[in-house]
Formats: sequence, structure tokens, C-alpha cells
Amino acid sequence: MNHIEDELKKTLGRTEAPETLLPGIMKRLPATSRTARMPWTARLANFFRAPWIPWAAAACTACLVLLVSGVLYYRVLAPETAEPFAGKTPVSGLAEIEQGRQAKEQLLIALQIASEKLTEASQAVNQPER
Amino acid sequence: VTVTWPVVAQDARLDYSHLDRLADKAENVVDVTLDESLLRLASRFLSAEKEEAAVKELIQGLKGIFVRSYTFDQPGSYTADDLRIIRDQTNKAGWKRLMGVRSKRQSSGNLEVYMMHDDRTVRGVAILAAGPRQLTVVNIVGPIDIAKLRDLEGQFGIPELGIEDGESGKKGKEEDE
Repeated sequence: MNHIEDELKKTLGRTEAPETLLPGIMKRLPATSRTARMPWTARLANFFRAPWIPWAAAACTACLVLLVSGVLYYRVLAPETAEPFAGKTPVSGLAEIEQGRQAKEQLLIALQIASEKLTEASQAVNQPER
Repeated sequence: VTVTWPVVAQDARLDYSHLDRLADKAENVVDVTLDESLLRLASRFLSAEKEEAAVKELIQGLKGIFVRSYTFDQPGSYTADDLRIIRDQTNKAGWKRLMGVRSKRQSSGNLEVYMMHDDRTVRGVAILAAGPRQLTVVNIVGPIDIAKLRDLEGQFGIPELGIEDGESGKKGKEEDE
């Protein structure tokens, strides 16, 4: 019985790991687990080597191109149609927008009155009074 | 809005400040004062749709549009002197009377159109419409195509402004016809 106990103690007892064990384990670990020990520059480099990076870069470029095109269209290429923020001197704020709307309203009223009077005058000239 | 008018543009600009006193007597007043900067601002708010595009084209190069229109409860609210002061200004050099309609009927009024121009360019237009219960002065400063302006009538969808001659609610000339 004592012999069995001795064998068990011997088998289950604490022993030092061989020196080749740790490098072996590290080799078997996946790459992602190893990055924790890498310097940040290496980790950054690894990040940009990821397979989805080119797609993300293409998407960002496309968005940038669309944004620049939109701004160019509204500011330069189509200032006549892109109201009310169009033109080379864009409106600066809500107060100016309100002022512009009022000015437009007044302009249409003024032209309406002027055109009415001109029409009256030309009708009267073309159709002498009866 | 008070406008300090540049000297170079003063010749086509009429001064009708003597009409200010009529505001108290009038039932309805339309007072539009649009100098060059306000015209430019208004222009930026005009769309590219047909009617507004036509307006935008029409006001290109204009220095100002000024309208004063009074509608009165009673006839005789303004005086002949009020009209004379305006006519005196349009008698000056450069102005020509384009047309004048004088109604024989008492219920209708007179309508005069004046234009200021140099050799080839229209520099301003003045319209004076004086009915028994209505007085309207329109002063457009700068190059304007009168035919195009006339063609704009009824295109803006602006509701009745109440500036027609008051007796029947119809325009003076329509009463004559």
C-alpha cells in the first residue's frame, strides 16, 4: 500500500517544466494572441494588413469624391438652380435667409403691380375708350 | 428701409417722399423698396422654374425697384400737386413719356408710363397710376425690358393686393370697356 502511495506522490508531485516547453507553447499559439506582446507600431502595421482595409479605403474615397462633387455642384457649377444656398457668396444665416425670402416676396409684388399697370396702359392704348 | 442712393444712379430714381403723409389716409398701402443689394439677395431665392427664371433674367442689372401704392376709402385723398411733383421729375432730361392714358370717365383714372434712356440703353421706368381712390407710383431704376415686364402679369400667383380702383373692385380700364 505504501508503495502505491509513494508512486502516486512521485507521479503527481510538483516538477519543474523543461526549458523547451514555453517556446513550444508560444509557437503553437495563434498570431492574434501573440500581438499582445508586440509593440504598437507592429500592431498598427498588422491592422493595415487586414483584408478588409482596401474595401474600406475604396468606400471612403467614393464618399469623399461624392462630397466634393456635391459641394462643387452647389457652389460653382449650378449656382442658378441650387437655391437658396447657392452662389459664390452663400447666405450667412437664418436672418439673411428670412431677409432674402422677404425681398423675393416684395420683388414679386412690385413686378406684379408694375406689369398690371403696363398691361392696363397697353390695353387702353390698343382699345381706345368707347 | 432707408437707402442712400449713389449719385450715378440718382437720375432715374424718383423722389416721392412727399407721398408719405398719405399713409395715414389710406386704407391700404403697398410700399416696396428694393435697392440693388436686396435685388441681388432676392434673385438668389428665385428658383429655376419658368416664371421665377423669367423674373431673375428681367432684374439682371437693375439698380432698384420702388413701388408705392395707396388705396383710399374716399376719393380726393391726394392732390394734383402730389402728381405734379412726380411729373416734374419725369420732365427732366433723359425722361420720355412712353404712353399716357387719360380716362374720360370720372370713375377711372390716369395712367402714365415714362422711360429714361440714353442712346441705346433704358436707364429707368416710371409708372404713375392715379385713380379716384388709388394712387400708384412704380419706379424701376436700371435697364429693363418693358415688354417682358408686361408679360409677367398674372404669373406669380400673388393674391389680390387690393390696389385696384375701389368703386367696383375692378380695374379702372376694365370699367371703361
